[in-house]
Amino acid sequence: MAYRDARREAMTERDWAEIEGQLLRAYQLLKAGIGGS
Amino acid sequence: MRRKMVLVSALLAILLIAAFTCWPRRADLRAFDSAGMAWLETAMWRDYYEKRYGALSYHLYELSRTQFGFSPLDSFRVALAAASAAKAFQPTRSRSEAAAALPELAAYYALLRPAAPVAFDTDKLARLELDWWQARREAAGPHDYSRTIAEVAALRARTTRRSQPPASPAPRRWPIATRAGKR
Repeated sequence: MAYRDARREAMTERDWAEIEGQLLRAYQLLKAGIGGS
Repeated sequence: MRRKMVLVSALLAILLIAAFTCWPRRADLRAFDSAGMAWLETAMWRDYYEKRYGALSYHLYELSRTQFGFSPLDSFRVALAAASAAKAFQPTRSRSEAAAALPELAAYYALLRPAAPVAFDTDKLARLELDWWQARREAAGPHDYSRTIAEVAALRARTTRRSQPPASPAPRRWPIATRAGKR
């Protein structure tokens, strides 16, 4: 959420999509780390 | 006779609904779908910053139900505890005030514990969770609070614990309550 903190009220739909993409990559790494598929 | 049949049917339907709602499921914190988690977490961050606690609670419920596999009743309890923690934290302005969120956070982790691969200390996790929420508020950089987030993730899922924070520009964190509180 450092990404969001840097933008605060100026967040756009595109920014939220960027955050979702970052979270997706993070969860994929987490899933791989705990042995999930 | 017909009235009796209707009553019996209604009673049976109520019992089935109650069983579906309350019967404990075999939940698993590792069973999530990455894309589903990313979508829900993003939605919850937006809910939080826009102070939409009803929507936040709903998304928390959906996450617990669809990603971890809790029963509807347990999902409701998880959502209520996490949303309450976020709501208690958001208006606070100091670490001492923020401690008001601790009981709900501890309750949240106590509800999650049966779905974890190994037992964890709910009070310790609640304190760690609150610590990184507060660290973000105090303008600590991701490099600092991501260590705490990694520790929370390690305690919850027994993932590999990192001595260094992740290199990603965004901090990686484990869901939820997390999906609940910050600034």
